[in-house]
Amino acid sequence: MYAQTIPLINEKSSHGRRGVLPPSASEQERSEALMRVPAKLRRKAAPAMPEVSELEAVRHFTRLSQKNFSIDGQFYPLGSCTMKYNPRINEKVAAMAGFQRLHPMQEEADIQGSLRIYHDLQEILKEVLGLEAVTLTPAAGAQGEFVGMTIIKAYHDAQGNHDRDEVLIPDSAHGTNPASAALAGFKVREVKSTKEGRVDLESLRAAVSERTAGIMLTNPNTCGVFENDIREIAKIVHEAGGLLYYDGANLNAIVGRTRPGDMGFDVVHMNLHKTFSTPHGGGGPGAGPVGVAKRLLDFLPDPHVKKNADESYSFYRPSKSIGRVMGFHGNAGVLVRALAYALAQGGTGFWDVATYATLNANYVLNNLPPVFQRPFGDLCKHEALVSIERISREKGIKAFDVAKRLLDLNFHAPTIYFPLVVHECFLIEPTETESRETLDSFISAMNQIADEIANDPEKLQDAPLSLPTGRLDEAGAARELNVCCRWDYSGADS
Amino acid sequence: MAYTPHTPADVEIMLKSIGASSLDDLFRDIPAELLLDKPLDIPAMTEFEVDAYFEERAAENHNWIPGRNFLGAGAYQHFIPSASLYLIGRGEFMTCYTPYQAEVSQGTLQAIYEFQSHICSLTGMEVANASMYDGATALAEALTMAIREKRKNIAYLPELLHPHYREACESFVQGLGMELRTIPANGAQTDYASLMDSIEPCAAVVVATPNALGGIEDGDAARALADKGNALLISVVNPTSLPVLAAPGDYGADIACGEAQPLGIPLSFGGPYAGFFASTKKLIRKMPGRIVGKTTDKDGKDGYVLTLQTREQHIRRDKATSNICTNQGLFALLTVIYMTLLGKEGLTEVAETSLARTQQLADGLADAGIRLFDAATPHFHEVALKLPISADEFRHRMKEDHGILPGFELKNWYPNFPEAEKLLLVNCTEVHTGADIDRFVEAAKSVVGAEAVAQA
Repeated sequence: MYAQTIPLINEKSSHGRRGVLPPSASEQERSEALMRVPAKLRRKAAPAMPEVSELEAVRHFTRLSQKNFSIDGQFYPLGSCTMKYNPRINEKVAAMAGFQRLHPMQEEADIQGSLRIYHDLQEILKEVLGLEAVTLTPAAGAQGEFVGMTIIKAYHDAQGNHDRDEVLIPDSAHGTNPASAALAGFKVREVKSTKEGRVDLESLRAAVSERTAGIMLTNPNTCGVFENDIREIAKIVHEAGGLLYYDGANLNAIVGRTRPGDMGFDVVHMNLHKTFSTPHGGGGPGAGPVGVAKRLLDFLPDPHVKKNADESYSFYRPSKSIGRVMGFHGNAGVLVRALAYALAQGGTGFWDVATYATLNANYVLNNLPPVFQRPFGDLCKHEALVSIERISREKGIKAFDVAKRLLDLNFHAPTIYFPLVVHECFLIEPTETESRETLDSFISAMNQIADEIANDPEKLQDAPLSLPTGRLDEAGAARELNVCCRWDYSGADS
Repeated sequence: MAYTPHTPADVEIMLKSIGASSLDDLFRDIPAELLLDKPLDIPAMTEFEVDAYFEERAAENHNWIPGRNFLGAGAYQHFIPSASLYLIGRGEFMTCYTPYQAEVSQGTLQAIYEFQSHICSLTGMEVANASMYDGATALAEALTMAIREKRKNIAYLPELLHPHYREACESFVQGLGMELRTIPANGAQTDYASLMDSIEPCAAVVVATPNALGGIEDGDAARALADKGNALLISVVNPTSLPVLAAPGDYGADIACGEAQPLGIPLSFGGPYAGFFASTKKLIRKMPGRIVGKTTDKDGKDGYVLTLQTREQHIRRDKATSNICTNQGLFALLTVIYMTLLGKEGLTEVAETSLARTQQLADGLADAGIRLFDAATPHFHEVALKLPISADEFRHRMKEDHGILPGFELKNWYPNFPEAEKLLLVNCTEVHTGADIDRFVEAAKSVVGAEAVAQA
């Protein structure tokens, strides 16, 4: 890791220094053009911006990059995020000029290659989900959830069921589920989990009513456990007149081995930046395609891609569309990468993805030291959930401390404090692309930490100790907000 | 090819350690009737075949030479420095996740802090977030923020707002019961004054500048209308224009948002782009999305963390300010690298050159007898032409006879405008040289020739 503190780029700026020169009209042409804009519509002084050379800029961002952990550099077992290897062929094809320079408003005859990419990806995702149609527009999982829930709302409204305003959500669900349901205009009703980490069927039966619009589920759920009553859950919700929504954040556990459509789900979103290997990019971009059952086809967002009788492809607006949800038609560049991955997998590749993701998670689950307790038995799907709640009460060590200590040992920490239903927990998702040797070294780090909890707990509470940046004051950041540096607004002369 | 490293020996050791009898045994908790008995019927390709498949698809797209393409309409061609695309391809930036573990994500966090700083500087606002999906959804989020702040559910949007933005906002706010009303246009400018007597108390008034026809709006007029409605003023701006046009902060906008694509993001068929979102400091606790704050570590060294997370979905759940989680981080990073490489003078040159080329095109066409839809309104880098022939025919002949993509047919957006079928929206930026402009003018003359002379 790059060890020094890196000054902000404006602190390195020198007045008049130039980086890359853009193509430009002559100074006279430019100033004449500017004078034709009335003074009151013009800016009084150019905004402060960096003034550095190209090399200074490259070095600044290279050094910044060297302050990150990443999949390329470290084991990154962040639960629910599926941090698998991001194949470079995906990057190569997405960078082809025929895609990168394509304007979203070009006429259909001139975008046939990209429309076919949309179509081919839709077909593969339909097969993976076991559903009738897939829209590729949503930019991320949360937007997929919003689109899916809006489709459910539009469906009930079209049936004249305007009173179906409640969505059932298990207490273990991702935070985006209730947030997306609320944004779509629903009230959220929580359903309890059993002590096995599954949906409690009795609570579910008690919760459904003529107000029920649907239920949002993750399967395997956020406890890493498969909802093996899923057919019964589907029956209960469907008989009550509701629809089933599948949060595909955990699709990597089952992709190509079992299908949400076969389980009874009506609407599914998936995260292409998880299961389909597109890079997470430090927080995006992702893509959150949504698959739907036959009765929901007409409600898909605008535009949707279809193949015509003459083998050409075109955009159309479904007849009862919920409307447009993005400025154009989604994160097309992410879709190119995801299709490259899907083509490389094929059916056998997907089968292996789920298989080895599950193998790796179970290997970790069964080899951690006993201080990391398993709340829900010894078989998980693609992520292992463990907790240090007991030792935490004895020694005052928090999951947070263990996470920070793992950073010292050159591992990215797992997800902590999620799911909310298990206290002081770690959600560990190794993914299928990690080797046994890497898992062994992670397990050995967890053993070292277990020893430290027993013998040297202070060491954990001060962690990280070996990194250029020590434990950061998060409370202070929220108390004394500083979210942008104070540029001199009239120019960066200093 | 699942990119899995497991050897048969690994599998044996691992299964034994787990106590499972086979790989299939790991799925014994899934009801048998739900398990597929064989892999899905999707063929697998080698890397070489994948590459070839995409070579073919890329060739099926019409890849325009930048200088011959004058299509804008919400996505803009600009010069993109080579170093910027290289830098975002570094694995340390590309293959990391949202910076939940701040101590090993300082690179991403500091870059986002710089992004927020540059956005504040460009827009003249006090605070900014780490990015939204795109310009359209950024505006939709701004509207929901205005509902929460003002506790009113009416918003006024200009007729000259990009129609895709309007449609995305309609989809977004339908569940919240918000009513979107329209501020009428007068030519290529919005007539804010027309509603001064009739505006109702509302959550927001929106100004989009430059607007969907390239016209530059008067922010003060929009602010006056917002004040009359006791509303927030939301300014949707093209960041390219901000080095030279009045900034949202100059005319008192409460929220400034928009599409960051023009800041060095490739067109890429509409995405991934990045939305930017800035506001006054007073509103920060109602802001959607991630925000990076500066702090110190236990030794007092500067560092950066995600802050004000209690606004967000993973803590507030159904009471969160937004459902957004993953945003467009890597492309926000691309824009901050672009701004750094071009710098203060470079960004100003891009803005001024775009302005100059657009004026040169309009002047040249006027000499040829082709008029503007509204010559009185000042334009930034896009302008609506009123052709003597149908825009459809004009576009077709410019393309087939002269190899030029001349713009966007406005009848698709504004079918009720007078003679809408003759309106064409043309965009010029710094990628167009003086020679490119001359070529367009000469070609246009030959396409409309006889008709223009007849009308002149």
